[in-house]
Amino acid sequence: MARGPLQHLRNFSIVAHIDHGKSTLADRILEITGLVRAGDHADQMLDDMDLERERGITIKARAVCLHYPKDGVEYVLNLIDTPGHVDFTYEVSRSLAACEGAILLVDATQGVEAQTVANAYLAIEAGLDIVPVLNKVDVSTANTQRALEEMRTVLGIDPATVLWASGKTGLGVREVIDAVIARVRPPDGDPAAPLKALLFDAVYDTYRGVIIYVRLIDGELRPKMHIRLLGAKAEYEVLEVGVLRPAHEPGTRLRAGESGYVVANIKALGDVRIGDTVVEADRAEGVVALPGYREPKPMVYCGLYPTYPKDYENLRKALDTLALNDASFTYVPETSEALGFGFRCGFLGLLHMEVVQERLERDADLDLVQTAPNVTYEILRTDGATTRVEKPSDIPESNFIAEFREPIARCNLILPAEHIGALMTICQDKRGRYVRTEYLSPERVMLVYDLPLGEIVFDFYDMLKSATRGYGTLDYEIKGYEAADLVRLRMLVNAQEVDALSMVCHRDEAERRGRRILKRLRKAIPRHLFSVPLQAAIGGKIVARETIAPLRKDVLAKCYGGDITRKRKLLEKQKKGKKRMKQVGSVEIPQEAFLSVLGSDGEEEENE
Amino acid sequence: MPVDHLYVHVPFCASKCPYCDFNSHAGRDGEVPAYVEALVAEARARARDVAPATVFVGGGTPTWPSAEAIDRMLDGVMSAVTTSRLTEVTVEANPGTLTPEKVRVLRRHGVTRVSLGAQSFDERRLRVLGRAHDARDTVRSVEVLRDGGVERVSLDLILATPGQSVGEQRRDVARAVALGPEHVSTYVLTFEEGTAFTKSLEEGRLEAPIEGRDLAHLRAACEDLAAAGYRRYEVSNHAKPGAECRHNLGYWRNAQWLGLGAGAHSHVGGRRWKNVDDPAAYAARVAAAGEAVAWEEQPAPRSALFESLMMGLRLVDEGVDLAALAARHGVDPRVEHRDAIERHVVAGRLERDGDRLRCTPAGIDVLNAVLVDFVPDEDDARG
Ligand SMILES: Nc1nc2c(ncn2[C@@H]2O[C@H](COP(=O)(O)OP(=O)(O)OP(=O)(O)O)[C@@H](O)[C@H]2O)c(=O)[nH]1
Ligand code: SF4
Ligand SMILES: [Mg+2]
Repeated sequence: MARGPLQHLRNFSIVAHIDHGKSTLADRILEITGLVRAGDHADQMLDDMDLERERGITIKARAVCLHYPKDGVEYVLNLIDTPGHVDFTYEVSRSLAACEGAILLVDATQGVEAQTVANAYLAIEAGLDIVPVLNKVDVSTANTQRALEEMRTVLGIDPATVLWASGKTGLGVREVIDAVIARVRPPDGDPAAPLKALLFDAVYDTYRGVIIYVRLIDGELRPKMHIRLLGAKAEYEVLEVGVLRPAHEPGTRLRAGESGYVVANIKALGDVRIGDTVVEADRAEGVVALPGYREPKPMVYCGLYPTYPKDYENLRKALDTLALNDASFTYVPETSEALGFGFRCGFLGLLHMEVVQERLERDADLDLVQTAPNVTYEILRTDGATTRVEKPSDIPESNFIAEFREPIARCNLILPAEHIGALMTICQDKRGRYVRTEYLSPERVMLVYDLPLGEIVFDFYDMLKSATRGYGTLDYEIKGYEAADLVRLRMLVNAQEVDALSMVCHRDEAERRGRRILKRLRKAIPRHLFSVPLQAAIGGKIVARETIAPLRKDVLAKCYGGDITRKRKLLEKQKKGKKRMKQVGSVEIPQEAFLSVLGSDGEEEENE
Repeated sequence: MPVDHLYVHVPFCASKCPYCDFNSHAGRDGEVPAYVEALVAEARARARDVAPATVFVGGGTPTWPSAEAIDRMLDGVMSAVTTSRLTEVTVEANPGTLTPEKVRVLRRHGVTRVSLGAQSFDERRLRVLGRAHDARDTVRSVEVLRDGGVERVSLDLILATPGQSVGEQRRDVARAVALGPEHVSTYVLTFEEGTAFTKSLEEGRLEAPIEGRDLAHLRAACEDLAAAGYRRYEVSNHAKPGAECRHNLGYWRNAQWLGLGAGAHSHVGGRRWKNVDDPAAYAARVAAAGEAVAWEEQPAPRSALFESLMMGLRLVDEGVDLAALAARHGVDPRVEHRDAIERHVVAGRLERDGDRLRCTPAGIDVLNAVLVDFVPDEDDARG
């Protein structure tokens, strides 16, 4: 049983599927607890990164400390708003480890979706007290009965315990807070014991270095204390501690059960490991490290190259800066014959990749060429060695490969039951292995499949969305690597291999995919003064070919006195476009062409 | 360098052709008198020191206004400049707008050359092109011009009109040649932004041009005209020996000229400027300020050199004189563009003969793609 003031403390996260209204509900809670005045601020105020605001999504979990008087007692609530997208699931796991409870939100207009299930299980497995809330009940199309039914079927939640709320109108939000106080247990901890704290997040601040976010299990944290990070085996002196409201508010100490930030002269994010245990340097003896978390591993890779070679150094600097604040993203220099000097970057998923690229292009004002993303493969060589391969051009010749393995994802697909046939066909086409079907309600079903991650990255997600009219959702988890009959498909432009265009696919798919990519390349590469053959090959064997016919007429019919400036500008623009292209041999390839290998669109298939 | 050329713009037409993106307007004839006064005023204010070798009155349709208006305009403009050096005075005209009276007016003011917008002799093509005349009008116009004593007649033809076959075009060219013009201009139809044709194309009401078709049309026209004794001296222009348009040669040689009228461009002393486009706005500006400049620029030496190359390489046999360009622009193309010249010479698109550089027949068809390699880098364009 908690002692003293811990009785009045609650640590909880808000978890849900994407867009079910976590951040909006957090806004209302911030208002009710008086941290902000209604109408005083932008919507989703915890989403304060530019990209979050633009895209209307949460990317980074955000903690905030609130005061809430009730029945003559001042409660302290530590709320963490989490992201809903599958790429950022690790943010949810981190947050949950710092909490005793979680509000599980379900959008009443959508019902239970893939990340609802995934995040609910994360919370249940972490042993948290769950406060189920049906959100958006203000919307006329809300199907509350169906949503309740699904919550019961899939998650075993008794409909009688579900609160009804609207983060938009504020309806039922006070009741949600009251339920958190009533149903979530206060933290358990001993303020007098030696310090033991979970490092659950860290950010880099240009002026203050690394700021770590900690949840204290036992003991106290005060300025001037000497702390040790158990895993990193490093020691620091604490300069400042405080709470997030949501800006840093310095205090005199943090106590067992509480969460807050610590400034301690830590230089680089690389020096800290999220999930590490923080102890007092002098009282470390006998303190058992917390279990920590599995570090997120990049699963999707792509090459990023500056359009103009002179920007290479700027790109490197921008990547350095970005990595300071995003430990889940990796990059190493690489060279491509086609694209020159650049970096191979690893991401948690496609959204993560998009977000990083956008930040680079915007914040650092860089013009980039991106290669199509690929997953990491494992290759068992004939000499018995196993290697991980992060780019297709590193794949050895087939006679050196004993086994070619690809990552397999266990996928939970939630969709309207009427589309189940269509989706099963797609999964089959994508080399999926059927696991099981579960009905959430008569109209909705959860399909479980094991699918190659490479197929998910390629175009599965788009196909899922179009086959289910946008209602299908996907959550996945990497299960491991499995051998498959994979090949490296090489692309040759004007008889020269373009490394940045090669890809890995299943042997049976190679010809079809090759043909499709060449068709796109033919459209993406402008005509040259000579004809440009395009070929797709496995090893030395050509499996598909196309030709870009030469440019035969390109001259302005009329050019007189009045036209000169205009025509000059036209040619200047053409030249500028040409300069942005990448030169492979004597062929100029525009940036977009490097993404031709990516995905499918139905239209093209039909035209064939 | 003296200002050798004077251009005068008349932006009025009987109707607006659906492919036309020139500064021309139909149904605004009420503005003609004020416009003519503005032209005369602009000529007096700006052309007083000019002694042009050529004058070109273009449009629009300069022969669309009444004989009185044309008279007043030519009188005002010609009396504003020094005419002692004149060797060529061209007026653009459209079939159906020429009367013996108007031709007399033209002759009285020294017009030596009329460029007639025949476009085609096939009634169906003329309808597709939305032209206000028929083939008989063209024949009659040529007669009226010859009867009136105009020495030189040029005919404009549009090639590769939607629906036109190469054979049909050959008949068009034959009919044009039969009228005995000294000069023929052939323009492959292009779809310009903002025209009715482009809109029809986008909306699928006009068939999209087939790849390579325009080249076949262009080649056929060049062949037929060459066989009839017309030398192709510029991408789209063919002339009997000595009958080249001297005024347009001035543009292609990147000479100096003064432009009068709405939307007219000028190039004097390395400066380029343009008048306001709208005829009424132009007239109001001239009335108020004696000029109507909308924008101006002074291209940097490398850009100016590029302009000289861009225009000069259009001249089929003449091409450009690299040494002369180096002297003129202070940037030597033989150094600046050594690689590009070499590459295109080797590929058979350019031909170099000492300091003379010109396009080969293969090169002229892809001149844009060749020219792109001569565009100065942005960073040193200013230098
Ligand atoms: N009508 C209605 N709309 C809501 C409600 N709550 C949220 N929304 C809207 O739903 C959209 C998503 O809301 P967010 O709060 O950003 O959702 P989120 O769960 O934080 O999304 P992620 O962080 O990207 O996973 C926004 O357009 C909100 O305005 C609600 O109760 N009623
Ligand atoms: S007559 Fe000539 S200027 Fe007038 S609208 Fe037709 S094409 Fe244009
Ligand atoms: Mg959010």
